[in-house]
Amino acid sequence: MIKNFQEIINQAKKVALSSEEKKTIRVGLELFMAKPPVRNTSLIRHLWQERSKVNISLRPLMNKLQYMVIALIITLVLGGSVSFAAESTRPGDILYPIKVGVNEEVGDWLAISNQAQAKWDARRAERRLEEAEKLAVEGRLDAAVRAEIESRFASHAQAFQERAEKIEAKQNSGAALEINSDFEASLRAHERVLAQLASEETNNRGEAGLLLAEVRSRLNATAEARTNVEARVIAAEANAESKAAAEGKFKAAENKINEVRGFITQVKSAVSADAYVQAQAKLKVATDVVLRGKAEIEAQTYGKALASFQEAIRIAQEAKLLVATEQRIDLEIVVPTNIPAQAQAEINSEAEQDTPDDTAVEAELNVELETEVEPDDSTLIETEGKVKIDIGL
Amino acid sequence: MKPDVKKKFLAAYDQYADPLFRHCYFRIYDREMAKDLVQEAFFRTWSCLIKNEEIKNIRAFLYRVLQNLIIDAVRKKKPLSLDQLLDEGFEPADKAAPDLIQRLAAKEVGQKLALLAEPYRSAVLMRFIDELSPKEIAKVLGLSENLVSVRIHRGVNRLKQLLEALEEKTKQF
Repeated sequence: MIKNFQEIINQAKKVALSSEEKKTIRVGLELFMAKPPVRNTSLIRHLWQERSKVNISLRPLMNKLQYMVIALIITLVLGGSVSFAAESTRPGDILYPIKVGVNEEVGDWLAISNQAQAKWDARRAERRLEEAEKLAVEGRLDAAVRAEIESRFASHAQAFQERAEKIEAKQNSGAALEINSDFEASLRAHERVLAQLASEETNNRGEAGLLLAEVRSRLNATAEARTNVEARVIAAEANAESKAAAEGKFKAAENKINEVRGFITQVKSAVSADAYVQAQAKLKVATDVVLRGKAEIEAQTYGKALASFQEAIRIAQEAKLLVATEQRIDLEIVVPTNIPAQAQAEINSEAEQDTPDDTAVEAELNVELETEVEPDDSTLIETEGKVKIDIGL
Repeated sequence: MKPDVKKKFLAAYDQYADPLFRHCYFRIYDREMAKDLVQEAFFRTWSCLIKNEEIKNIRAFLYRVLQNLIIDAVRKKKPLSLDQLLDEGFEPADKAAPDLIQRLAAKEVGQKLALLAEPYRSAVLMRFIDELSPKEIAKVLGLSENLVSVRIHRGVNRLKQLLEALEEKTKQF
């Protein structure tokens, strides 16, 4: 019978783990220390409940899914067609908020990994620039719209930069190099287009110029980030892993060049000869860079080789964007070919009456095409008429 | 992270696993859960260490983590009245205890310590059984050193009173 306080203390001290229990916990601890599992600190662990690995790894996804389900229901109720129609809108259109607030947010939720999210952020930034370019071509890029686009672009680019830094902090230099490099290629292409728009004698040149400044600063930041990561990749020691990475990248670079070559050939007729030649020249440079990378693989400098292949991919992508951008803007004034027979007959008769005038009109149309000015609705009808004459000749 | 951190951490385990377990056991009277909580406390402390968080006093830190885990566990557990349990013949001893001495000690000490209510019990436990300094206890509980000293003092007096009262009762029979 324990009677006094001191005895309680002495007796209590006898309570301990058995040596076996102590050993078991120690082994568990050593295992945990050797490879600590990824834990979500926001999760409250129910210690006496059975631990479910599925629950832990799927929880963040489930949180996202809840919102996705709500968004999906809204989208379904409103009709998928609204969401689809919203895709081609620009700032100022009624459905534009659906495009940036629903469609793109859903895209954001669908991108789970950091890399996928970074790519989506980059894509969103690009979409803003594409909208701005289209509006500038149409002469609708006023100060308010430009400010909206610029702020959205800046926030997407900022999100991209943060994600890229996160990826790099996780020691994934290869992935960080890839996304920075891709985004740089895209920004460079848009910078060229905006520079052209800003130099043209249009109403929107001032606004295009302001946007251009923002894009340039982002381009510089991205290029700098890319250079830094590149330096780190080059400095990484050569081992089997880096060799495999370099060889994988080599295949990727070759595929990219082949893809771009195919694309350029395909759209050759739709773009200006100048753009075609420039793109081919860029592709040539990319091929040379791949050869340089191959030599670096042989010299066992895998980091350098990886950086070279990534550079080749970037140059090839720039070549693709060069023709793609021109094609995209030209697409807006593509001529419908299915002309009703009656209308064609009318045009034919008209054409017979007054041939010299038509040639002048045709010349005028060519000028319009070259300056890449997209006609507004009223001129579009006019253009169609003119082109019909062209076919009639 | 320095290479000897791992070694030091395992040494800390060897040194403090028993006192931590003891502390936890006399707080929740459940041997299995006490083992779980002690292991979890070490896991969490290690997770903090590898995030390069500076831990000045590993012992106090471990107690603090364990303290939080105990609070969480007690909150989630179905509330039980200890008085009621004792009246019904509750025996806090554990069948799983490794040997007879431990089982008896755990049973008797557990019954006596259970007489002392919180927050005095944890203060007395930490001061006399775990032999933490009042300063360390203050750190673990997030209280002032002064308040901790008061609780220890009152806890000891109260326990002594309770023991005397219990003895009187047994003498009468």
